Amino acid sequence: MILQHFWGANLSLISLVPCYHQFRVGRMHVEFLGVPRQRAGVSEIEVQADTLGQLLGLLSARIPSFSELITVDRLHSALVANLNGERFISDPQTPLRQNDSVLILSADAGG
Amino acid sequence: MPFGYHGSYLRIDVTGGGAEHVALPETVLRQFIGGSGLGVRLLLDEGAAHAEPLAPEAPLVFAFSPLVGSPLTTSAKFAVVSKSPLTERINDSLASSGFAIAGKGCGCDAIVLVGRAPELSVLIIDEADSDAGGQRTKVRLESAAKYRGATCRETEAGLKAELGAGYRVASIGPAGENSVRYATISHDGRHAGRGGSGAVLGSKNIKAIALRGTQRTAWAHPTELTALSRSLSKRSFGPATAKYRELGTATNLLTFNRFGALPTRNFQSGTFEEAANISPEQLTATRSKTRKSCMACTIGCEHIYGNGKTGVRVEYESLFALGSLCGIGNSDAVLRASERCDELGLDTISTGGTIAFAMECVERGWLDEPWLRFGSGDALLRAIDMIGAREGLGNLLAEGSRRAAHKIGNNSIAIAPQVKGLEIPGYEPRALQTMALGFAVGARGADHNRSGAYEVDFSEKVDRRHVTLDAVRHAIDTEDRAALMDSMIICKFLRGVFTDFYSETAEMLRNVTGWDVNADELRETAKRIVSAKRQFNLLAGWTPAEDTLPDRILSTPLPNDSEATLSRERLDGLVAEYHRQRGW
Repeated sequence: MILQHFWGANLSLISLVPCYHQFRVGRMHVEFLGVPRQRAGVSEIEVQADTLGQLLGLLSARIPSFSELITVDRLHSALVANLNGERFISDPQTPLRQNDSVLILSADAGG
Repeated sequence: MPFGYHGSYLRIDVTGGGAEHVALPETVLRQFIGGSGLGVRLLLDEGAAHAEPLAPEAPLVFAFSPLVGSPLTTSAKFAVVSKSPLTERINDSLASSGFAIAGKGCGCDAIVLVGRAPELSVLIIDEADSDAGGQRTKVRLESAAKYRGATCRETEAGLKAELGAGYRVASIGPAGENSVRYATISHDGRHAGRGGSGAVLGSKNIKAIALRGTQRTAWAHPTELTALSRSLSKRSFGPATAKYRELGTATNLLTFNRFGALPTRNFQSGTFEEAANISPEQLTATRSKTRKSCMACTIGCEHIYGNGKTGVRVEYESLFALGSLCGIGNSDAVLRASERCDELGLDTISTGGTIAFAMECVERGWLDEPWLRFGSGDALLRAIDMIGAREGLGNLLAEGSRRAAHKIGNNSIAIAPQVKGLEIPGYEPRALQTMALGFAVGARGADHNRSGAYEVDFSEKVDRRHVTLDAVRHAIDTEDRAALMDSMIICKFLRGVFTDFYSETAEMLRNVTGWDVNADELRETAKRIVSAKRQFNLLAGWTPAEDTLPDRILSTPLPNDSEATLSRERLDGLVAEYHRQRGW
């Protein structure tokens, strides 16, 4: 798999974070799978955010095609987020740490 | 008689071609609705549980539903229900499109076939030739000698050209003629795929059924039904179905690989290093692609990729079974294998599962077929052709992995990827343990369409690799919903658009039938249908020991994920809790 990095978005996202956060927020990967990948146009980006809600807000602001899939700080019910391939998360207050991987994928796993 | 129904089924003995309409009481229709539910009820009434699945007396049911012919999106569906020659348990497989509408248009809510035609035949049912009262639908048999050995597509095209475009045709390929235990029945490029209904039709010497019918049933509340249908169609264009519309089910491939849940090399691993090569993302980048819908569907999930001169409909289950499960990362080979299964009328999951099992047996020295190696596309294609013709090794593999394992010996049953004889679909049970429970207790065996428990694993409700007894109620809920959807019948790809599933499906049924049905009644109906399947299995000889998974799954962790372990003790606990909550 070729991993593309959305460096332009990354730089812009950092600029959206309040200055005092820049001393403590983690830098993490966001992996897009399936439809989210198609909408994002990339398979992976790096962002900085304290919480899931903050991360989703940044994605919504920076990737226009995501705006209909994110309401403020929550994913549309058609999508889910997973932390490090281990547990699914939806609470916007879910803390994120440096080097975490947040996976965004379709909620419907049917086939 | 309620709106939405004809109030009878057409029972045909193909031995002599005799047919009769048999009345269906309204109480039965309200209790079992249609599709899978009605089919199981009819099989119980026929005493089918005790029959040998390929014997002339074994009934084969094509069941429609009250929603067929309505404007509700995805409602043009039919269920094929019989005792499975692969599992010897209940089998219900579903397919879509014009056959459902034409079948119901023949003035019946189901067609029950028994007997065996004296020669390979086409069964023709023509409502237009029937008597004015609709009591005697014209049924006749014609020789299918010229279609012997023809593919499903050739047979369907030939019969439509011969009989007229007004006919709708369901047919079997060579695999069904040769009693391959996982042969399909095909219509309009799709298949009633699992469990060997094609072998049952073939055992009756019926190559194809050609239907022509235009009788309609009235709706109780047409204005409300039209409004509801518009609303449902509009919602079906939204984000909840985007996955199916934009990429198709094949998009599961890379997602499952990322989660270590992509069965690989006969369930020896949950990740496949060549997954990207056969992913829809890669196929889209390198091939032409078109989309197609079943009749009366607004989703359009069929993604057809160019493969040389032809187009191949690609689904996740086919990619997994003929790709990663056999260790094959060559997309040309995987697409050709999928196409060949469609032509021969073979269930891709059972085909891939049985071949992958044989590949591992070769690797272990239990089977002396050195050409059959993981990763060889040529070997895969050769094996598929041999299965379809029941030639050489194909005669063994046509029996499915469970029967093959019993003949191969060496305790190879431990690595046969099956439950109750039905090969496991593309959900690694150790990585998706609510689904593991769904597989173990499934009435028709390991199945992702009768239990949607994978939805639970891909949610916050459970820890997918360490599920507890709390997962059981969720697994039961997905099984109940599936039973209702398969009886209504509506496509499961719609399930994400519902905010209150039982209330909304009750509204559909109220508007079509006029019954004062509500959500609570449908919850009970769903449980009744699940119980009826169990009742069939009990009569057919089911024992509690069948509700389990292969030894491999319960004794070996996934190599790249030490967290993904599922002990026999834990699965047994989940199964026991499932039975307790079911009240069985």
